[in-house]
Amino acid sequence: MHIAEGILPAEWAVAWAAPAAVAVAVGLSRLKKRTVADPSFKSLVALMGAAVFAISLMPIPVPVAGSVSHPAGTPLAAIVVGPWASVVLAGLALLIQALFFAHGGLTTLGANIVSEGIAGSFVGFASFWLARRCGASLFRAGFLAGMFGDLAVYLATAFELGLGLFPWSGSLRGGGALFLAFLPTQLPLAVLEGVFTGGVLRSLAELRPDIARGLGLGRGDAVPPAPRDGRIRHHWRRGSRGVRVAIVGLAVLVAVVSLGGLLWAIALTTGDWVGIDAGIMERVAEERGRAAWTPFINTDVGDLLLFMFFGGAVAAGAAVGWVVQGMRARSPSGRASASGGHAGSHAGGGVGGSVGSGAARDDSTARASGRWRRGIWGLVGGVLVVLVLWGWLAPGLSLGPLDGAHLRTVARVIADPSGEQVLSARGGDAVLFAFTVAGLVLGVAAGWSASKRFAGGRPRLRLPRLHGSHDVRAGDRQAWKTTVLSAIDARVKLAVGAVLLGVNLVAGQGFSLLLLAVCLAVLLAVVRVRWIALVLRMLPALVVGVMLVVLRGLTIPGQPVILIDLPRLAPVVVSSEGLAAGFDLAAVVLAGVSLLLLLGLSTPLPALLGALRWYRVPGLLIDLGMLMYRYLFLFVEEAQRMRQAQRLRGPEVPWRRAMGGFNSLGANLLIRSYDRSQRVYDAQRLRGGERRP
Amino acid sequence: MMNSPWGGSSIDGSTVTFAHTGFVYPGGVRALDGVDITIRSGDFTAVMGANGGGKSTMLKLLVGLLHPSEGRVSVDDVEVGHDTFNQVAAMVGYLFQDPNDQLFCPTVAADIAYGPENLGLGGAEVERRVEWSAKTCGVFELLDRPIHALSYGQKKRVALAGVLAMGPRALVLDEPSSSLDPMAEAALMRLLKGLNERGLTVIMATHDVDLIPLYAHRIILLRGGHVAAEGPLAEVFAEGTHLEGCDLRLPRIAYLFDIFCDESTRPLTVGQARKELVRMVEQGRLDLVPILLPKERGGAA
Repeated sequence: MHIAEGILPAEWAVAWAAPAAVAVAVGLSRLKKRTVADPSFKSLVALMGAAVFAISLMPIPVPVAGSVSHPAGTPLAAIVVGPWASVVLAGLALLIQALFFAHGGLTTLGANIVSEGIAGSFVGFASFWLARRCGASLFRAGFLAGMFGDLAVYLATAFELGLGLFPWSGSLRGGGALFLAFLPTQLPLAVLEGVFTGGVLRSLAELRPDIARGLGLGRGDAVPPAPRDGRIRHHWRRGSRGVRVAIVGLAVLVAVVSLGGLLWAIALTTGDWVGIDAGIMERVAEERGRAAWTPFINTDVGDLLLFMFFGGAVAAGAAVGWVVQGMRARSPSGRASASGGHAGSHAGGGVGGSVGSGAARDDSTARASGRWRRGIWGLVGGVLVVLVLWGWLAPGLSLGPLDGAHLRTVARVIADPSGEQVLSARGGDAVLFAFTVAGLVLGVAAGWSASKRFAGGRPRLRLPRLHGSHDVRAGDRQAWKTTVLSAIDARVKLAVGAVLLGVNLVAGQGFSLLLLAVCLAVLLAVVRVRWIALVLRMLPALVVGVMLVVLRGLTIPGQPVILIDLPRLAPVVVSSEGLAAGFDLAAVVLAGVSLLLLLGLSTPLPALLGALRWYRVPGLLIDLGMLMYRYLFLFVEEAQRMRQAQRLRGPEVPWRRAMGGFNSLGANLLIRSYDRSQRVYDAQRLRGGERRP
Repeated sequence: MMNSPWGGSSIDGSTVTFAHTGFVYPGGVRALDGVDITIRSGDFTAVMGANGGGKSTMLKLLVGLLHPSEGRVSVDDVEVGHDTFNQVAAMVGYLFQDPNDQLFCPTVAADIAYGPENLGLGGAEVERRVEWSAKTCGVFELLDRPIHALSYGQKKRVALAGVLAMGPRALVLDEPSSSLDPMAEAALMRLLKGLNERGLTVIMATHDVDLIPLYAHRIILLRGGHVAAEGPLAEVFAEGTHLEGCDLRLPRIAYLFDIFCDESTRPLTVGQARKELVRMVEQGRLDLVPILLPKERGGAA
């Protein structure tokens, strides 16, 4: 989600850097005060930061999307070390990510700190605080914090992009549209981040109540906190009923007022607010001189019928795919072929049975219930397939009460009881057939994969590798290699890099292309990065570049280059001016990212942090960065070892337990970082650390 | 040797005194009770005992990471306490069991320099100490490497280099040889022995009963927070009951000697055992042939 280097224009880069710098400065000054009262707090914050960084590399499987997600981590960090410290940590983590992965960037660092650091931390922290004051359990409060914090990060990102990419008058609408575009994938991810945050906090409180209390997560009626003298702790208490009612009322009022304010602001800028479809798409169509588009599922022209058949076909296909895959996995040949895969042996119930008699009994029970479930699904699927095909084939056939025409009539009555709408499917039977077949194919694929995933009646998962941990280590190794560039002082490299990134934003396409070419050539020839590694590292920027070209091509009016005339819909017009603008922006992004890669892959992070210290960046921030860098790798390795240990004791586990495993893994990382922070602080004191300025 | 942090070939080791020292953890668990011990300047002392016997607590009290609930701990004439923490830290070096706890700087050079910098030494002196410590501990080639790229054994050596660079007069080590391979362990112990011979007081907590007789002069056995036995090695090991009470065993060579020879003397190292065997053979009290050459003897018969 990080906004890539070069996307935001110079004025917005500066505009976002200002609040970010203020927030980080406030965070640092509060950290400094707290460090005076409790000198071990610095190491605690840095190690918690390293742990949260490692946690953010933990992929959480999203069965709905069939992919994995990474927790944003700032809501959790804000709860653990407080929102201001979390802003500082987020700033450091974003800087390290920009230099290690070229995720985010230096000119977009401010905007990213505002969204991920400020919005994520404070919304997460406020949700947790409110929920705890209302008496919510640690898990529920953590869940709300994780979910709202995650959504806040994306809301802020969407509006930052809206302001940066769209003209001022359309920025709110643009941002809103982008947020709505994020929502379908982000909403489940936000829920998962909530489950993760709540789960980690609950596991932490269960595994080490002393640490939970030390971090101020304990209940008000628990044993008093403060394991060390003078430590300042925030301490959550259940509020009285009156306080709770007042807080909830206030929260609702704030929500209503802000929502009303938002809508009012939108109405002010555009006259009225009629929704995304009518507001944005319609206007785009009007700009092309066409009529506004009709809804894609247009019940007036029979689309409901079309989609009923499509939906039926998906359901039928899914049932068939489920049953066939299950039968295939049970057959000896299927099991043999599936044994290399992750779910085949479980589908057959094979491996668990030999472990012990109890396990064998459980396994046979599961098999029996699995057979019943499959039988019912098979029956339902078969009936649906027959009905759907019959419905398509049947217009000319009549087989008594169950002929195709009859079926269509039933469907029409369900879809439109008043009978006022057009009854035939749009585009005729050919389109209906295409939709049905597409639905069947999709359904079979979905059912097949779901059957593998849900073998034994419950979703089973392998715990995936830590995403990005390889990149961190490989990038670090590369940075420590001796090349011609290593001889150049990091201060010089940093200054030149910052100037070039700034010029890149304002100079135009020619400069960006030249910068891109030079950076890539130096990376390949001097730094000796393997080209495949370079392509992989540039891939996110390439995707962003393509998106920018498409987005600008579609939204900026001008001479059409591509014109796709869709019947009854607004035409798809890609303008030459839009494409040119898109290529301009893509060149800036790619050049910026390649320069960041060059900086990150040719200079070790401690050298860059040392250079920042020379440029008078606050010493506390640099100390935190150095400690984070030192322990980042340790925690990534620890997370990897814990994950391996979990896998060795059960390569695949039900989804619920896998999620629990992730939560305890995250909690264990926090516990280890807490314990270690105390020892690191002791080690620093023993070598005279308290005398250090 | 002139480059060493002590400025000469000899080291003026510290004397450590525990006077009626007791310690109770906040949860109410008593870890040490009535410890009365003096570790003299230049001693190589091993602190041994079962897990939970109070070894680590004793070492932490010594450096001021914990403060005694009763009695007092002093290094030379300085009583260990809140006010004297930095003074004691400059006199006593502490090596953590896990080097990952101790190495918190990003690179080897930065970590070794951390302590000398805090002592307020000039840049040249810090560099000199870093170089000496790194060479002494065999990590000079690693100076520019990031800590996370080191092996566990290398991290142990870097941690020791960081402690030595401060020029301590006493060295406190918490299980320094754990997780080291035999060669690394021997190298570490030889280094400690060499420093001890120059006068450095070495206090080391360990479980390794085979290693201790090779290097240490004295031993402190802790059992349930009490001192079960204290004194020169031969005296403490001569009384096997002390060891059993502390969940320890005899060194293997002593155990082997007990099996084969019904002698009152109990060698603790291979070298001592060899000398004792030769003496016994020369006195005609032991016929080694049936033990060492059973086949040849059988064939001759």
